[in-house]
Amino acid sequence: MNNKSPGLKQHLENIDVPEVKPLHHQQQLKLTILNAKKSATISLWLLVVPFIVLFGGLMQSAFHVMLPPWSWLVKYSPLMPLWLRLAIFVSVVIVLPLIAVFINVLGILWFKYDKAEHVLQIAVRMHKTNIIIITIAGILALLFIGHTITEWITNG
Amino acid sequence: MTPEEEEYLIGLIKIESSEFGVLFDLHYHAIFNYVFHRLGDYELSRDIVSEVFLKAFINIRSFKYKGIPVLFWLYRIANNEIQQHFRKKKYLPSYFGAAINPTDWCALNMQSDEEEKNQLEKELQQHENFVLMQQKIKLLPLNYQEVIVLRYFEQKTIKEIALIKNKKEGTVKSLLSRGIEKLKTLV
Repeated sequence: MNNKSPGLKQHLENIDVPEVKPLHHQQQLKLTILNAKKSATISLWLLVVPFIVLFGGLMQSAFHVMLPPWSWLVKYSPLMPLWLRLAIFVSVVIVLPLIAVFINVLGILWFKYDKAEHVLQIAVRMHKTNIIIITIAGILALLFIGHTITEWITNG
Repeated sequence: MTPEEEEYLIGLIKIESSEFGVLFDLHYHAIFNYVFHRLGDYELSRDIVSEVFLKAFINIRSFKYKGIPVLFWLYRIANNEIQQHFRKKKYLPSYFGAAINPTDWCALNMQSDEEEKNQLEKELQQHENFVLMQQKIKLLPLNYQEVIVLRYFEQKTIKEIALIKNKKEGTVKSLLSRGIEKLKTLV
């Protein structure tokens, strides 16, 4: 190494460097990174159920093939009271996708309240997986909400 | 952590991604300190460190252990992010944190961002020589900044810097020497 600047080197070697430990940010970041993955995984499972039901319905209408759990629903739902049928329908095809949307929206949003400026900053992380899940789950939920409203209007 | 343990941990992360938390806790402070020593700005350091670990989390599956510690790989990502910051002037990280469950916040029992920032500013005030030197180093070309900060602030050896920068030891020595010469003209 060059010896032209021993004074500066010595100074650099002896300089007292601050050691920082931002524990708050560490915990916040760790949770964020690990939770984003978790929310995507949980949401996929939340979407599987309505998709199976939808697939069963499509198989019946297109190919007249009855597959479980659709076949179970067709078989047992007439035995159930109306409120239970409605509850199952709403929770499976509307509530589950909406929960998936909610979890993933939380997973990509970042809120920060600036006390000094009295401003709430909301930022969105463009995380592909989460956005795809939000889109699919949103479409699915809207589809069934639309279907329910149409049925309700046509049947009075 | 021995190289064997590190290799085992990476294998484990590839199977169960939540194990990334172990790696994160191991290296967070080293990376935060490095970025902070380079930039001296708490908020910017926070953004860059977030981006570094998010990229590491996404790319860890493609990471192949070839004897280079993960920490050095993280330093490389940090260097790239800092370079991006200097290139764009205004750093716009693709990372944004997620909203965290309020119960998690309680469990953390940590200070707010603002308090943490104030603490770091106080810490900096107690290290005037460091701040002055850091401001001068920031005027140097990035290549010189990297080697000087790694050598003198992070106490890395020439061999380690060579591994981090994926350059020969001779090249690092020469970079360091030229960097110090340039710095001397600024001090």
